Amino acid sequence: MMKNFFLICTGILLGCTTAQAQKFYTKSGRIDFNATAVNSLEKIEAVNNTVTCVLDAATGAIQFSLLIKSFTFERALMQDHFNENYLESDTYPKAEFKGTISNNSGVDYTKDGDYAVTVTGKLTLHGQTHDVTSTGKISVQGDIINTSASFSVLLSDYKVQVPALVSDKVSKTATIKVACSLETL
Amino acid sequence: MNKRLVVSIVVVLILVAAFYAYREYNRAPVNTANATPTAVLTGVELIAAFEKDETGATKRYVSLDNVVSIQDTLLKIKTNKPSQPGEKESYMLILGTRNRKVSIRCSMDTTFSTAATTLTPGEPVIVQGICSGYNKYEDLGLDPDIVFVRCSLVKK
Repeated sequence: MMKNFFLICTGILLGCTTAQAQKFYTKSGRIDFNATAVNSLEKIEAVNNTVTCVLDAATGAIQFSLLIKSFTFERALMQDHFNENYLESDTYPKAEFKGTISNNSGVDYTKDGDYAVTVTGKLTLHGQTHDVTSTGKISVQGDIINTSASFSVLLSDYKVQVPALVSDKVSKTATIKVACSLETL
Repeated sequence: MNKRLVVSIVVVLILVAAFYAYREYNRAPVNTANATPTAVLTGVELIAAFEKDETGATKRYVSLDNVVSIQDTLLKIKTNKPSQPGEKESYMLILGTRNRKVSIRCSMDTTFSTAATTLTPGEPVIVQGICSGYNKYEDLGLDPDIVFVRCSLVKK
């Protein structure tokens, strides 16, 4: 009986350890970009549904990679300006984030539930890299890890020039909302 | 008489310019379902083009204005549930085979998401969309993808 008890405990421990050592990923994450100026009648917003994210549950390391041209706008002219003038996507085709979940030890990836997290890392956009810190949420639902976060970036930090002519429409700060549903890698 | 003619011509030119500016400002993105593709090829051919000459293939296929038609095998359908109120379900078709390293990922236009749900993995499909690039995921330890957006299903 003691042998069975020992075996069961070992099995549970291995199961927990395995889950914590797992990597999770998606290649169809979503990022909403919004740079609509206050009082602007026109919305400057875009969606990217092809975001790649990899999360290492053991270390809390989290990385994102996305193609700038995958952002879709309602108006073609806005999308052209975004790619050609603002982010110069022919020269800088990707944006990347490499960071860590600061309080990863507080997240139990084996137990269903919602966990508030803080993510710190480096965002590379338009050829510029800066530190970014964001609060977010990790929701564990069985084998699926749902991540969400929202943070702001100052466009000038990334050398994105907003012409004075459109400053009443395009904000100097863009809000980035992240929503990814990760599965086991 | 000449002065009136000149003024009339200037007014007409201004009106034409204003009309053009209005149309350009409100121009919708290309409708990939109705567009004539600028390139028609199989998934294998597209991947070979990027693997052989990434810069050349990017110049040829990656463009917001050009629609590319891809014939390939459907590997998987990825469904993304809405994360916020007001969002719609979104679909991604993953084209390729299990033994192929590079996949082609097609983010379906929301208008065509219903058609995507009738598909079965393993069947041949023809998808038209805008190629947004080739992502090799150098630091992520993942296999590369060629990514398409605003995709429409042309044929099974």
